[in-house]
Amino acid sequence: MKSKVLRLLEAAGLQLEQQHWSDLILLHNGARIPPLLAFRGDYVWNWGFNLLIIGPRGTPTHFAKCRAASPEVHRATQLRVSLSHDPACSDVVPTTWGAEHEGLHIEISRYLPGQMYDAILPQLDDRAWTESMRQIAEAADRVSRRVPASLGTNATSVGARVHFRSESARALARLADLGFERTELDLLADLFDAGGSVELRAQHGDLWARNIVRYEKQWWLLDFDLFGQVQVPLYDTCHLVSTSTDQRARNLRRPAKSWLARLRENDVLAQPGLEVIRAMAAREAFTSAEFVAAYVYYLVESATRHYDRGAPREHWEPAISVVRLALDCERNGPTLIELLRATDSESIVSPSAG
Amino acid sequence: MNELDSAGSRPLRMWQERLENLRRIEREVGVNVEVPTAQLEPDGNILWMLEIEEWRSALHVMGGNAALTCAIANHFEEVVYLDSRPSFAELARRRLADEGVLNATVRVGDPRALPYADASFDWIAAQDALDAMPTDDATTPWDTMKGILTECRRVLRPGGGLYVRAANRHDLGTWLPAMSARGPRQGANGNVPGAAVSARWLRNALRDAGFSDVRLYYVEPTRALPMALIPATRKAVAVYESRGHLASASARFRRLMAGARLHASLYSALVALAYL
Repeated sequence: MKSKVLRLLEAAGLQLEQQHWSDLILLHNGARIPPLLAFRGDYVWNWGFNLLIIGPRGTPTHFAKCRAASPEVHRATQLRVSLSHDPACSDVVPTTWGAEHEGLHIEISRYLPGQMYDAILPQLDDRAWTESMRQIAEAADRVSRRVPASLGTNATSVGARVHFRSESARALARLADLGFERTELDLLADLFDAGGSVELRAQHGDLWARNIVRYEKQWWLLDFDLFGQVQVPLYDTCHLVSTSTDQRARNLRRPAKSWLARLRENDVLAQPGLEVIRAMAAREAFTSAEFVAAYVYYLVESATRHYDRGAPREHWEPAISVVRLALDCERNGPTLIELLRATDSESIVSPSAG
Repeated sequence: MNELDSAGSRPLRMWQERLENLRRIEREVGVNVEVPTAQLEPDGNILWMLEIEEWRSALHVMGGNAALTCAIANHFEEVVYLDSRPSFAELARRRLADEGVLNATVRVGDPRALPYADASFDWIAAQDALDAMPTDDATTPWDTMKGILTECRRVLRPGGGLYVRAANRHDLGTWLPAMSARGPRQGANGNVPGAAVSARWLRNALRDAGFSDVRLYYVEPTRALPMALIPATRKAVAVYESRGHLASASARFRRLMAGARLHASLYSALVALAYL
């Protein structure tokens, strides 16, 4: 007699005849399936659990994410299956399959026996850190440019544009709910208006160190649950820079503060991230207004997204305070254009040869 | 500058309302013992791992706050909740009604003398039952546990299974907090030597009770937050402790312990899935 989870793994195409009960490790067991409260979307409440599958040689062969079945997780798996089988992305997105039965959704991917980026970061010098962030940002950008072909839908058709003002409408409304004043919201809206529109790039949405693995001299990206929810370029790069700078500071036992605060204080710890963000902005051929709008979009979207997902206050409050810091920069200087050194498109450096 | 709205998002508000309602029921029925339960009640995911032949009826002994009973009700045609403490049984009645669980019944009874005929259930859950049992000078916790296991074996149908969870007697983290992966053990109610068992003892007790197939797992980090369930084999522990992001000094020390066959001392609790 096989367990429900084993039957589903086999239905997804895994051959498990040789395996024993002790070859399945249950991990990240965070929430019951079916969930206690039926929230739709990417809420942490619908989390579920993961499985690590050990092969006949005693090493992990596959990783399975088990979630309550919903249209959102079904879509996320479909997308990842499609990306992982796209020749242009198959060295960035691990091979993936999916199956669903009795309210349980399983997404299985090839296990990568490499090191997570957060374990690698402490070992890197500043130059290697900068280079690693640049390579990861470029890998994510490569995936985002392949999405139209992978999905085959008009929603992300090649050349489609996103308008900063309309894309940020939800986030600005949420900031109003959270007590931002009219003048503050107008200032943000002005920055978005100045940015106008840019070419759409479906973003990973959660590009941080625990979703990045180094294996066979490649950077692999994991966890595409939020993929495509953000379609404004530079979001992933800003998130990668912000979170890995935070980790770098922890590793060096430096005081906790945001990347923007470090940039404003001319902290050397902010400089590698600035180089990477500028390189990716140059890749998009952004004008200075587009560059600033994309960065501010990241700040407001990531802060309010945490809030809307139902994350605890301690998760979203620091991000909200960075939005306030950005407003303070615009009012009292140095402005974001000055801080990002985005005075004109020609001044944005090209990606270094590495 | 305005203060941020402290009410939180809609999911967070709904979640807080639910928890407040549960706390209110606990107060009303007179339950004042904290039962270790993770907020999102992941304990119920063990049900996806079961290898049993039928999914008709299940028994949850010493069911406590009935969190696991609610999960069991999603998988079985009918569930019986049993607890020797009347206040907890009342809490379970209220909670099951509140959550719209229609296929569960509640009963007060002693798990050492189950009020059911032989071969009545397809699956039995005895999660932290030992912590919940009243103690007296005449009976050791191990005698109590053996009594529960023997009764569970009696009322199980052929092809059925038993799930047991208990504190790990050999857990070094209980005594040396620096040894645990996530700092000191969190409020694992009853995680004291008297109410804890060793992996070897649990395996032998289950075999003595008549279970031919006993599968032991370690729980990490605590019963209150059961984030991982690791098969209690050298191979599985080595894989678990060697995952890519574990690069700290304590992680290296844990790997060393695991490699030296001392893995039983690394985890705070044990789970057994036992089959006839």
